[in-house]
Order: sequence, then C-alpha cells, then structure tokens
Amino acid sequence: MNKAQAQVHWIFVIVAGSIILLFFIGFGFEYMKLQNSKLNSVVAMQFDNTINGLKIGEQYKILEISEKVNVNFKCDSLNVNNDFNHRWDENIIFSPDKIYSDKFMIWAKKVEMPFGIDNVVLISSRDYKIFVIESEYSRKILESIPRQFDNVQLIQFNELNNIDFKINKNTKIVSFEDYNLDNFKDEADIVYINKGDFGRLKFNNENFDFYGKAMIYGVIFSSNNNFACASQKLFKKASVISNIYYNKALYLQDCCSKIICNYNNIANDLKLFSELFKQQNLDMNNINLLSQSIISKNNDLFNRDCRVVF
Amino acid sequence: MKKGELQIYESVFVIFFFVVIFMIGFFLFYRFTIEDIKGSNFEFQDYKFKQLIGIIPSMYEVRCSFSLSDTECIDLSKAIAFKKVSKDYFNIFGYKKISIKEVYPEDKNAVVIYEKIPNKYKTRREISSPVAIYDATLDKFKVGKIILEWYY
Repeated sequence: MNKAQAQVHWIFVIVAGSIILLFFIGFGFEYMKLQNSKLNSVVAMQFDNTINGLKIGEQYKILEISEKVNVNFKCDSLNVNNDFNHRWDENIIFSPDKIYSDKFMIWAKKVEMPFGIDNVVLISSRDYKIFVIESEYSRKILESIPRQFDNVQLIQFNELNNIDFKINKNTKIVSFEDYNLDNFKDEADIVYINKGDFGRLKFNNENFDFYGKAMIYGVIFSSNNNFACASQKLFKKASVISNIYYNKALYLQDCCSKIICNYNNIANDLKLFSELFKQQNLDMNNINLLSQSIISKNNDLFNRDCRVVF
Repeated sequence: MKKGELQIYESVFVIFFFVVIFMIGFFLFYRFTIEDIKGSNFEFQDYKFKQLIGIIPSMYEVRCSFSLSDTECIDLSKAIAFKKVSKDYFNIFGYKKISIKEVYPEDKNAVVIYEKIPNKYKTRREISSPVAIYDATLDKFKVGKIILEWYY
C-alpha cells in the first residue's frame, strides 16, 4: 500500500467509524428517551391506581416514587416529566400546579352537599409549606387533616415575619380572620376563607365560592387555577347528583307514595337545587337554605316511616 | 481496477452491509419496544376495565344512601335515574355498556344504565360481578350482578 492509498484508507476508516459511532449514540439516546417515556407512564399509572384505590373510601396515603419526578397537575390530566400525559376526567383533584418530588401526599375526602357528591382527591408535597394563622376555628379545621400532611402548620399572626421565604419558596398563608397579609403577597399565596361551612374565599386576588369542609381543604392544598377548575367540576357534579335524586324522588312518588309519604315537595326542592348549581354566580346562602330544607324533608320522610330519598 | 481500489470498494461494501444490518436491528428493536409499550398500555386499559367493576358500585351516582349514611349496594332507582344523564359520562366510561341485573329472588332482565357502542369494533369483552341491589319499590335488598361490556 503506497502513502496515498494509506491516507485514503485512514480517511475512509475515520468517516465510516464516525457514522457507526453516531449511529450508536443516536440509538442510545432514542433508547433512553423511550425508557424514560415508559418510566413516566408507569409513574402516571401508579398515581391512577393509588387515587382509584383511595377514592373508594375516605383514605390517605403517601405515594413514594423511586426517583424525583416533575408532575404537572391540570384539571383533567396529569403530566409526568413534561412527557407522558394521562387523562383522569373522573377525578376531582385539588393540588398545586406542579410538584417535583418523590413523595406525594394523597388524601381522598368525601364531599357532602348535603348528600354524597364525590370523594375529591387532595394532593400535596412537603415542598409546599402551608401556614394557617392560628385561631379556634383554624385549629378545628386542621384537626381533621391526616398527620402525614405535615407541610401544614398553625402559626401565630405575629410569627409570620419569622418565616424565611427564601427557604420556603412555595408558601401559602391561610387565614380565617381579617388579618392584613399584604406584606407577604409577593412571597406567598394568600388565602382568606370565611368562617363557616359555606361562603366566599379569596385566593390572592380572585374570589371563589365554597361549600363544605372538603372545599376548605381543597383551597388549602391547591393552586388557584386547579381550585377554580376542581370547584367547577364539583358544582357540576352536585347538579348531576341532585338531578339523580330528583328523579329518584319522582320514582318513589310513582311507586310508593301514600298520604303520609309524599315526595313532590322534596322533588321540587331537589330540582331547584340542581338548577342552582348550574348558575354562573352561585348564591351560597340560597344553596345552604335549600340544602337544610332538603335534609329536613328527608328526615321527615324517615320519621314517618317512609322510604328516604337519600 | 487496482488492488487498492478493490480493497476500498470491499470495505465500503462491508461497512454498508453492517450499517444496513444495524439499521434493520435498530428498527426491529424500536418496533418491539413500541409494541411492548402498546402492550403495557393495553394491559393498563384492561386493568382499568376490571377496576371499573369495583368502582361503579361505590359511585355516588348509583350507590345506596339511607339518611346520609352510605351503604355498599346499588340503588336501582338511582341507577335508573342515572341512565338519563349517563350520556355525559363518555369521558369516564368510553365505549362500554353497563347493566345491572337482578338474579335473586327473581331472574329479571338487565337494566342498562350506560351504553356507548362504536360503529366498528374488533373485540367485545364482558365481565360481571355480584352486587347487592336495593329495590326502593319493595324496600328490599336483592342479589344482582353488574355486567360490564367493553368494545374496542
């Protein structure tokens, strides 16, 4: 082999070698991408299984993943590592927009308006610090939160200045009293909640309606976007379930009404109740009054030895 | 043709042959992995289908409730009422048919509470599970079964 031939030979070896090397590198990257997608889908399935299991009753669990993952929670879906999207239209989820963690605290809580509507799912992580300003009312609210949700803590109003917001980047301050929290609005999410089982709450600058304790827990753990969306889903479902009970009341009126067991009144209330939840601006006082009336009429049926509607 | 040129052509051919073999291998491996993922996805869908039979009786749309206390049974009158709104549940149930059938003391016709069947489908799968049924008409509990059909 002369010198020129040897040079051509070497150029050829380098070019061909590079092509093969690039091919293997490309293959390696594609394979890694594929495996990551597979892993992300497994994480999404783990979430789905856990939530479906918990939703059967009122239960809680800490879901542990083998490595830290970035989970984006949207109203009807969750996305793992900006890659795998999993839809879960059936669930009403109160959660932050995004959690980067390997431990997820999940709690299924029953919503009653006044009858069972759904078991909503509350998701949080230790990276999110939630400070609830201490009062007699807030103590009662926090008593029902499972101890595993240790990212929620009571704090005196005058201790808020001691919080280091550089360490606690994802912080929320919740108050059931009219404290002035304007000084903290740049560092934390601020939530004001009316005391009581229903009413209005203010999440940063947005106002929302709430009904029942589950929605209070919902706003404690979720972002304002997810709270807005989950609340809408919940009110829509309340309307559907009320409509089902309305139809059941009509069914009982047809099959089983007697002089002492009349279902027309409760049916009318249930129809109206269903309509109220469809309105754009909810009248929570009216909803609460009607809810009390429905409970009273149902109890009345029970006391008269009639079949109850719910 | 000189001997050197011949050697180069020979080498090009060998490299080309190897690259083609690798590419075919890579393509097959990629296809197998994709099929494996599709298989896992189907397994998950199948798992969800089986899971649904346990979830439906606990849904507040159909489950029994007596004076605000929930009981593990299906209220037939609620299930019949649910049928009127069940078309809005396509996002949740998809292409399925859900029926409830009383089997004891009487063997009655099944009550379909949700039905959405695609125009074309390859497979139809059916599973069923025993369930307690509350009949508000008679104020009695009965033995029934929930039948779930999946079309895909």
